[in-house]
Amino acid sequence: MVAIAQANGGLTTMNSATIIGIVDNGYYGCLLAFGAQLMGTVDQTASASDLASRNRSVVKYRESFKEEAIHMNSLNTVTDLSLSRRTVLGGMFAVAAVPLLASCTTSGEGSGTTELRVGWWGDDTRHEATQAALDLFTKKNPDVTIGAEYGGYENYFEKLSTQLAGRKAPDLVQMSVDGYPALADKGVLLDLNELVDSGVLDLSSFDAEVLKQGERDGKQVTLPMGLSAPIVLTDNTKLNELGIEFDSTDGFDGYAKTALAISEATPDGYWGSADGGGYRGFLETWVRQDGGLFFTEGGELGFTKKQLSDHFGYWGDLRSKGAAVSAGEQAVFQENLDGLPLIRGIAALDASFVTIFAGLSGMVTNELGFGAMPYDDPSNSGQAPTFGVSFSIIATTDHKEATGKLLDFLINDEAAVTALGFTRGVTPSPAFNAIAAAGLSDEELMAKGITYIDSLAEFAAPAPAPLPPRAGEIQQALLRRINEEISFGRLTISEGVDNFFSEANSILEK
Amino acid sequence: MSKKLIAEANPLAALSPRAANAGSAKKPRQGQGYSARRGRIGLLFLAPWFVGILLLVIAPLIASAYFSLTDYDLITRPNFIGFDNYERMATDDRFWQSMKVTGTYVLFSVPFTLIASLAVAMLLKGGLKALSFFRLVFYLPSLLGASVAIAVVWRQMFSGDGLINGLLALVGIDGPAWVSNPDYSLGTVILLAIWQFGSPMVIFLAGLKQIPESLYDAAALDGASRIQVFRNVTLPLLSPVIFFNLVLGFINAFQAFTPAFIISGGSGGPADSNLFITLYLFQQGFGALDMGYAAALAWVLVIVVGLVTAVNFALQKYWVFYEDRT
Repeated sequence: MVAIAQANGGLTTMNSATIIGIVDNGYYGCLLAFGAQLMGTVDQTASASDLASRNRSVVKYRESFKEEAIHMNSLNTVTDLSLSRRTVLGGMFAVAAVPLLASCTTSGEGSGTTELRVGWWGDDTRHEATQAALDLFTKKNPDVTIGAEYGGYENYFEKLSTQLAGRKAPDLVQMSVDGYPALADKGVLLDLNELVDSGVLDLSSFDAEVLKQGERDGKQVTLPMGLSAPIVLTDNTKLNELGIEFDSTDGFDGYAKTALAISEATPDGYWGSADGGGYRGFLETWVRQDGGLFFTEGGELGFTKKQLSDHFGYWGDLRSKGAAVSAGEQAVFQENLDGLPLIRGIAALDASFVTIFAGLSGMVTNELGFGAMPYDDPSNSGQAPTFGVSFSIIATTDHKEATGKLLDFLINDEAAVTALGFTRGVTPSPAFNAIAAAGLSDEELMAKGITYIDSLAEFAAPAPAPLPPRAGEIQQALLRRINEEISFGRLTISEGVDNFFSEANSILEK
Repeated sequence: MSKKLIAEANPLAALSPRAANAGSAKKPRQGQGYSARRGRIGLLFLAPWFVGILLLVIAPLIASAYFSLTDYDLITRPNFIGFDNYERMATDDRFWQSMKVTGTYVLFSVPFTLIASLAVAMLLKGGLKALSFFRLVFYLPSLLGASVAIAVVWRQMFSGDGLINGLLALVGIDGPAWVSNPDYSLGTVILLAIWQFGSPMVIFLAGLKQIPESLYDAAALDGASRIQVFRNVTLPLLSPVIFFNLVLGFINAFQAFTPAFIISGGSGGPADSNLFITLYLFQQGFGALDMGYAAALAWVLVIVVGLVTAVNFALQKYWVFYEDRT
């Protein structure tokens, strides 16, 4: 059936990668790994060129008969030359073998040189800094070559899981606080203590407490690199113009009042605050100040329906008063940071994480500032620094030791640390931070959000328990979606709360 | 794959076996040995494609059918869990939401695309000056449509302060943020699909040119009005091509992915209003590492597409007119 073949044509693009899981090594696995590789690199262009060729064939509708005749002729020519069957077959296998070999040899040991691959996401500054540090390593170790695979955060983990399925994942990968638990539980991430014990990796300069955040079942599966915390973003140019000040210590009531004051002092189409109902930083701060947690030690939701309903109610109230942006404006922000209401210049207050503050500042001409999440009691601020990004080594790597050496180089070599700087945030290593800060003025450190982590320590709550697997889905996509359903009036707050709990629990059960 | 190409190169061949065979049957018979040898060599030359279909289409198909019965997570070994994945769909609200979104998209985009493409094909059929130029202009969106770039442009045009609202503001209308409002965002994706009417249009053009002039002359002599000519001459003779475009349109529409992915930033949002089934299975398979469930979703999609196509073929006898069967 044409229909089935067609329908499957699209689906197999996704499924071709999945088969590898059950096929152990052998040429078949290599071929499919090759497919997975193709998918990772040219997935978008493939669909476009596929369409183009399909369309061309339609245009050539009438000419197809002519072409058929030409093909017939060439076929006859072949027979007339009495090409031997063996030659033809041999040629075909040679052609078929090219991609096969290409996909199978890349993982093998070359002639004395080691090929490592490193994957991360980030912005241009992080890309350049990381590439520079990697270049320093290859300069010192001429027998090593490093392939860098970097891009934006969007679909980083989707691509990585595809590569893992095809056994083509990079050796050293950047992880996130909510991305690593699921992978660690599947046994994908190497216990870095192995390399510490064998003397390859030196983690002695890292804060032991923060290192624990990267543990899973007693194994050091990831190395926390950048400490982060939620922050309130402020458009200082706008606030100065209005003569309004924002102060985190006024608490949530004060935040609401400030937002309303800004809205009232500005024309329609400009609001005091973004809608924080879908932002995990606000929810977590809210429930922790109320004695809850986002997730308990046991990996369950650590707050009550009442607390979630209060949170949605707070933001619903801000929206209805006109203090927070309308549902339609907030929904522009899905994944891309340029969709944030403050970046788009329609709100003076917004929220994000301190690690990306420097990047956000570069996106607008107005001067941005930031403060802590709202709190009125320093002993109960409900916020704490956790690591945002980290590094992990893929357990199946063929080059454990070489990758360990590379990681050690990136965190302990002075030149490499200078090159990396604070592109992943403040690290849990005072030695690293001291080198990275050399040559930066206090103002620059402030602007990069470096000093904030230190000052947060004065009023920070205890660090939260490690996240359960798939926590990211709940904290990001689910929370944002339920807040949208409520703000667009498709669900009442109590329906939204019920949906949130049932969906979150079914995600956590798996 | 090859069937698809044949079908698209010669639409009528796929639908009417007699029409396709008509050409080859007339070829003069040649010596049996020569013909058989040539057949074998032909097969030999086709072998790479057979191998390709086997390894890249059939094998993954079988694998995905198997995975849909497992808890496969892309990384660890899959465990067989029977039909749990399929049973789970019954109570999965997001699955039903994705079916609703996909269904709405298909129901609106397919007929309107056909109407638009037929209308433009009728316009272009006449002896228009610079015909090939206009054909190119109308065909271009189809080349661009599936691309990421155009979806990005679309998102920009229909955003709150985008081009569309700029134009509406000129006539005093304060338009909403189209793509970020769940009431309208699916509409913008449908509009993007309709805008890409180039492919069916080119096929319609080819079909229109095959309708014999003599029939139009006869109708003119009988004093038929333009509407009568369209209803009684053009439509019946074009019906096999309409049918072909309809079947292909349905199949393609069910698999729409790129525009929804780009316009919603991969989330299917706002409020799941762009959660196409393809997007949902992508999220489940590669985001939530639930490839078993994603494979099951893919098979449900295959079954739905198969059913819709079967219904299409069953209904064709009521309205599709094949000249060679009269």
